[in-house]
Amino acid sequence: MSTFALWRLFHRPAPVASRTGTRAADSTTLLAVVAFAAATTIFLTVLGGLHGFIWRASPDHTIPCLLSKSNCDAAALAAHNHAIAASKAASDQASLSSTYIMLAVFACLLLLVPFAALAGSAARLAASRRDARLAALRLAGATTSQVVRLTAFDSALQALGGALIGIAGYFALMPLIMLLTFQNQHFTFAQLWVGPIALVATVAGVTLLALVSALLTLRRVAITPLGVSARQGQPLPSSVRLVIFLVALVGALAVLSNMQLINAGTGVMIAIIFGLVIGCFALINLVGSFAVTLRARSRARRPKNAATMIAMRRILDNPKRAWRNVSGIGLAVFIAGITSVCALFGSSAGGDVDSAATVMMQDIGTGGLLTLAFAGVLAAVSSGVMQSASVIDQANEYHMLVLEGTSEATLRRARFAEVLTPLNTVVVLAAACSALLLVPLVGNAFTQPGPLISFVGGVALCYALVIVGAVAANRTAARVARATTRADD
Amino acid sequence: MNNTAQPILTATDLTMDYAAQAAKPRAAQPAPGGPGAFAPHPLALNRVNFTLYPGETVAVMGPSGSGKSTLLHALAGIITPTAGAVQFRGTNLASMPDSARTALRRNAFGFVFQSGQLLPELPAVENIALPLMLGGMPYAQATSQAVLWLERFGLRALMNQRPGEMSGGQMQRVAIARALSVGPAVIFADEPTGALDQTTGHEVMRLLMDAARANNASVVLVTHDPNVAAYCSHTVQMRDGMITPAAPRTAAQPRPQTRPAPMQGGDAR
Repeated sequence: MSTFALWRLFHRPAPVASRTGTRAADSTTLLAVVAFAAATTIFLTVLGGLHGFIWRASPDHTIPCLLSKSNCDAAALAAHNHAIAASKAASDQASLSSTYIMLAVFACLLLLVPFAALAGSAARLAASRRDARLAALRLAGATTSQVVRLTAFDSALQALGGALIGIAGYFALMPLIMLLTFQNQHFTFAQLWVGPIALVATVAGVTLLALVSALLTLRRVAITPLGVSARQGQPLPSSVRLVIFLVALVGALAVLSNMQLINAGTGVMIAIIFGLVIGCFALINLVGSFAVTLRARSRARRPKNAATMIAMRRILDNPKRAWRNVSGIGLAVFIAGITSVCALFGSSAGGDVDSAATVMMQDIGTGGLLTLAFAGVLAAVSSGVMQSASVIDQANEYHMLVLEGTSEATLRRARFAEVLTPLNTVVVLAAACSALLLVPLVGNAFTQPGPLISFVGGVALCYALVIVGAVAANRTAARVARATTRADD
Repeated sequence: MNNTAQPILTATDLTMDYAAQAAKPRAAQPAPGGPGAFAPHPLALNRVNFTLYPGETVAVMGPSGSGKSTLLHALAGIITPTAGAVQFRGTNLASMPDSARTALRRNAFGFVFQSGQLLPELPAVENIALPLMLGGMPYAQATSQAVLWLERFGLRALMNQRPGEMSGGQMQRVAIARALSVGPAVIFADEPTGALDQTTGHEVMRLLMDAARANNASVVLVTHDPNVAAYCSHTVQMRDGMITPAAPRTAAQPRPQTRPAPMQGGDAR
């Protein structure tokens, strides 16, 4: 039987009377599609921004012309040179245009991490809830490769659907992006329009990413006719991670103490910021699951109620999963830290408020805020999707608890604490790390009320987004889980 | 059984129609497919009457789909029947708000299912302490009591083991300890030996009945297996959602009191 024929077998429209059973599968599909759509919208919007800066920097608005003047349209190049010669502002702006592109590429690279995490979590959601069906298929004689192909096909289709909806989201978001001012001018449609080839490539890329993620996820689970056994005991993270983290942190502090970001050139500054963010992110990812384990262990020692006990034990059962659920927020916290400092540079640049350098500093602040908002949304959607998969996976045990007299409110509190504890840990860890590493670079700028308020505000915004995402996911997934059970004989 | 005592649990004219229940949320909209859901169909429970006295142990037997588990769920207030009433100590369960029914299940009832009721992330001691903590008991006190239950059942060595590290029989013993930890008035057991081999099944049944007797708890036990049912003082047979009249017991069919015959081999489900 072909994979497509198998897929069609599971996706026939159900008769009205028996729709309750398929509601769960429909809802998880919907969640995964929403996740892929959100990821595609944000990716295309950021790509549109990058395209806008390239459009502005390139005399004939094409990439080949940007790379080499010899590829430019002669008339466009002449007009561009004339404009630069005629106005000092245009000439200053042209000299900084490559920096703008570099910054936009930097923002794109930063967002790649939460984007990949979101696509991965959507693929994981696509693979969850299929346990029983996959095992039944194996029992009925389907080969492992047939089952794997079916799941991969399912994920790829969800990604394709999500990516197509994401394109609509990109167009819907465009008028809002056009309101923003960069280089003292608003974006136009021509600047933000990435072109049909980029759209097709994005759709293909998202689908491929989902396919690869699904295959990687399936590699970690063994689908046997007796069930899907993914529940292997997870070893607790080793304390060696903590040692490496501390050594790297002290080393970074020593190096950074001898630098002054404010006095550095633009290129050096960007390189330092880039290294700082990526380095910090790598570092907290190294120590994250260890920190979450420590926190959960301390709370599990004497839990104050049943909900806390269940939540902490769930975290300790798989600290990596708990960490993955919220790790996106770590990156958002770093971006918030850097954005707040950039905003300070923008406001304290002084001198000529219309000078290209001042405008750029202000633009870095705006771009940072935009990146922060996107990172926050990606982190929230990603966390929500992962939490949904987790709730659906534990539906059976929670259903038994409800039968035995556990109130829904207790289970809601347990699910919430399961997200909140790692979330608080990651926020404290990332905020402490970014403050520690930024203070030697920017001196006491970080202690001034402006950047501090901006930093705390940025973190609070992302925190709130993740909480909203987690609460919504918990409620939806719990409803889905309830819908699949019937107290029948 | 003391028939002069007041019944602890009574069910009167219990009727359960899953098709009607499922159609309820859509009742406001006309069914597009015509009468479909309301075509003649068997009822999961059809005017069932049931009485349980304090300390009584009743086995509910019958083939698959006969309504045994539905009856157990209705008696425990897990599902609300389409018609009829369940009264616990004189109070109609249907008249109680959902939160009160939930609290009743937590405090007055104990549950033992075939498998999967222990939380896989919690060690045995916390699995037993869980219902006590849900009732508001502090962690230290709840786990102390849980340890006592583990000792009573000879399972102290399993205290810090998680369900994945236990055998099926050990898990069921822990589940029984959890069901009894709240001092329930009624224990509902749904195929408690269904996933166990014969010897372990007998051990688990003996433990369950002895512990229930020691705590003066009544037991409603759903099973396919007459040898498991034989542990109960009374058996009711179900077929097509109805309780069938019991055949009169003859001298040739004495009720086993201490050691029932070996259980049926294989999986009766």
